[in-house]
Amino acid sequence: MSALRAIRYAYINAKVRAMQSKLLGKKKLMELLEQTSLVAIANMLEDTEYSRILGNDLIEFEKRLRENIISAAEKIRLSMPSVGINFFNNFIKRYEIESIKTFIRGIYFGLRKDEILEMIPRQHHRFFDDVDGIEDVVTMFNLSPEYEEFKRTKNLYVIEHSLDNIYYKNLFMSIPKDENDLREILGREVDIKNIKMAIRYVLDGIREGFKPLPNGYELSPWVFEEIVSGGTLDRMVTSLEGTSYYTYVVDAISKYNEKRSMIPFEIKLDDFLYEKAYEIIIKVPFGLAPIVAYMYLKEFEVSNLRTIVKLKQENFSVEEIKEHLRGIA
Amino acid sequence: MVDPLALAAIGAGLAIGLSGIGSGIGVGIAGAAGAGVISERPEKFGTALVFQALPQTQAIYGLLIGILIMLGAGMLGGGAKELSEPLGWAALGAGLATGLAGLSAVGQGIVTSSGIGVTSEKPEMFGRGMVFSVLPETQAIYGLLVAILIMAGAGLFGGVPKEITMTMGLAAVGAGFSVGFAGFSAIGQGITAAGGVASIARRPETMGKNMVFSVMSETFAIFGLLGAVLILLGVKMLG
Repeated sequence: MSALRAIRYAYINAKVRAMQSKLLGKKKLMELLEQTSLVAIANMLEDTEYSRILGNDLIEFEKRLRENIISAAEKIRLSMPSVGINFFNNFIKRYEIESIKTFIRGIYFGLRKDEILEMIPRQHHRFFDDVDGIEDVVTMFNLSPEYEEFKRTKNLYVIEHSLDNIYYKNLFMSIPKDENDLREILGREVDIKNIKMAIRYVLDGIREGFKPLPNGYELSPWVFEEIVSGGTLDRMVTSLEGTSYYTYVVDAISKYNEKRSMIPFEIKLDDFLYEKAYEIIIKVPFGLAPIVAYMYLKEFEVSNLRTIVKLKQENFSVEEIKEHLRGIA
Repeated sequence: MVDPLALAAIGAGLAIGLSGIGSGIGVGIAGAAGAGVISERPEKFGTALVFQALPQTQAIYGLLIGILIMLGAGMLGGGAKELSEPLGWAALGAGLATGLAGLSAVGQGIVTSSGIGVTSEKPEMFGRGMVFSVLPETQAIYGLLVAILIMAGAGLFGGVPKEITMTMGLAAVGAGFSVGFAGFSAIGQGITAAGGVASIARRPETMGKNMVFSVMSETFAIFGLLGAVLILLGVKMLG
């Protein structure tokens, strides 16, 4: 870290630390978990950033949570020093991509545009002014070959994966020099996305066609080829041996054997990313890395809130809900 | 032959000007962090202000030595004294010591900005943040100390100036460079201490270890102080 970086980022890093102080924290999440009704949860959220966003409509609640993240990101963007602005503009496109995915999924399942827009954060509505169907998205991102494949296979993942591919390529190209911690945490996010997708391939019995996202931190593309072609969870574990992700995946396997669900893998791998984000906040006082780490923590918090509310509505027990939360272990 | 009064005036100017640059940058960095915090938590204004005040001290030391040099040279209160050229060089050395060491405020600004951010998140970290934040102050104190030693050795604290040789005068400049440049180690110390503050916010038990990392940079400042004292002893300006 150079003195120049401290000078450039003093304002924004202090601001983000203050924003961090408004995160709910594990204690508050546990208290929310103990509440017996959604009204009680809504009351507990009154003195937080999430006041008045929880009603009876879960879809509306999820949308408002996403709006909350986008507002936090926008607040940071407006205060970002010029050296980091290009990167951060690219970073927050992840939320736009999420909205685009919601849109194309909605179209795919036969919803009307106005119905889909009700699920999309208001900050992104303008983006869809001239977008009426999947074709418009394809044209906008120049995804003609992928669209042809989608038309042939009816597999939306082809288009979604391409959007992620474009996102991460642009993101990594915009990382400023000497931001090694940033490169690491983003690369780990890519690794985790790739592992999750490879596990899905294994569980669904698909043996080929897996294209990992670029710019992973620790895992080379051949590791995923090995995992997917191996076709079993045991082979996957062997392929990951010696990497940072090994123990997390091994921990998840016993839970997977109980429940036969992908969720334990997702939770454990997200726990890993949560820990990494936390580590960055501890060791890096200035720069883009702690800002991105904060955004991860915010995303995890929103995901946890959504999980608590959703599973409470479905009458899950406290212990069961706890198992679905990220970064709590 | 250089005009001794001009040398003393340059010394006073360097003491005030250089330390002013250091404090200006340091307070600026801390102020930016303070502004960042209060944009989210306006109630943290007082805490941020306390941290921001820390890098101001270097400018105060500089101003103090600058005024003392001017008083010693008789530039204030009318009628400049008859100074010898070696005394002029000694005054320049004193100014350099305080001025250059005053740039340590940049390092202090870096660590205080981290302290401001951390205490906005964890108010209980105020004391520990303060401890780390005062570390780069020592370099400025060493500079101030050497400046005082030079001025005392040269009899520049009022009264009748001592008769010192040209060697002693130029040695004072060397002593000023020694403690002044070594004072730049405060920038490295500030960077390390800023990391230390961020770290102890999450893991308070690492306070001791982080303190060890931060204090490492102090070694070079101590070398500078030692060098300055040995130079002054070597030419019999002390004792």
